Amino acid sequence: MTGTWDTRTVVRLLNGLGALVVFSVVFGAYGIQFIFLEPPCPLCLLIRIGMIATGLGLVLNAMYGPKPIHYGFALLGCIFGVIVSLRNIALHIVPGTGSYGDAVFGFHLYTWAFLVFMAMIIVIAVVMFFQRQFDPPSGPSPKIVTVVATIALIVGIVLSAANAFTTAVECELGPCPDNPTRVL
Amino acid sequence: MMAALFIVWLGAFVAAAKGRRNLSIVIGLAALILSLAMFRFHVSDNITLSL
Repeated sequence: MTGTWDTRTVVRLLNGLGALVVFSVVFGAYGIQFIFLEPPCPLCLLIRIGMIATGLGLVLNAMYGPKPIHYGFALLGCIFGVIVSLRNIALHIVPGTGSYGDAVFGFHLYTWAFLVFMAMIIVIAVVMFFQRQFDPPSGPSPKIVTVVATIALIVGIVLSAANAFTTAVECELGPCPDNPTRVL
Repeated sequence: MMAALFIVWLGAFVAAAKGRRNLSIVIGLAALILSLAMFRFHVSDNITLSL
């Protein structure tokens, strides 16, 4: 495998893989939407936006190299996601107030989303400890790093476009209904 | 409205793909602010906090 493996390169690869992990959560939500025919609520759509925002920050790191502004953007996306998912949890936190959708492995999707966002905040904070990632590149990056970054970018584009389409069909031009009934 | 928000996010990714890194961040930040406004819109009623 050609290319230089230094801290910057490893972190770029980790960011690309992290973006794919975050995007896979949105794909999972899509799976539940179409396989179990559960239309997403407005807050669920906003949680997807939090995932996409986090993914954009990580994709920028993977594509153009780690920069504090990219990490800052990813953290803002995580914090937005935490706010929305906490609101969604709080809506149903009192026993007997019901829930939205079915539980997956014991937790509802908004609870999983909260845990994912918190985990991402911790992971990003830890990765930022490695100061040498912000040094200039010492040589050409291995091809796998560029490939993973490109795949993550394409997945982000596809996810944003797909969500724009399915949300337009579900909500039409007005605000999304609080209790949606149509999947597509 | 929410679909338009996703289109703004799509714009941020497309800007990143075209090498416009700074533009991507600017569009992303604008989209994040719009997303916060959308969140506020969807929780505008029945907010009762007991801290």
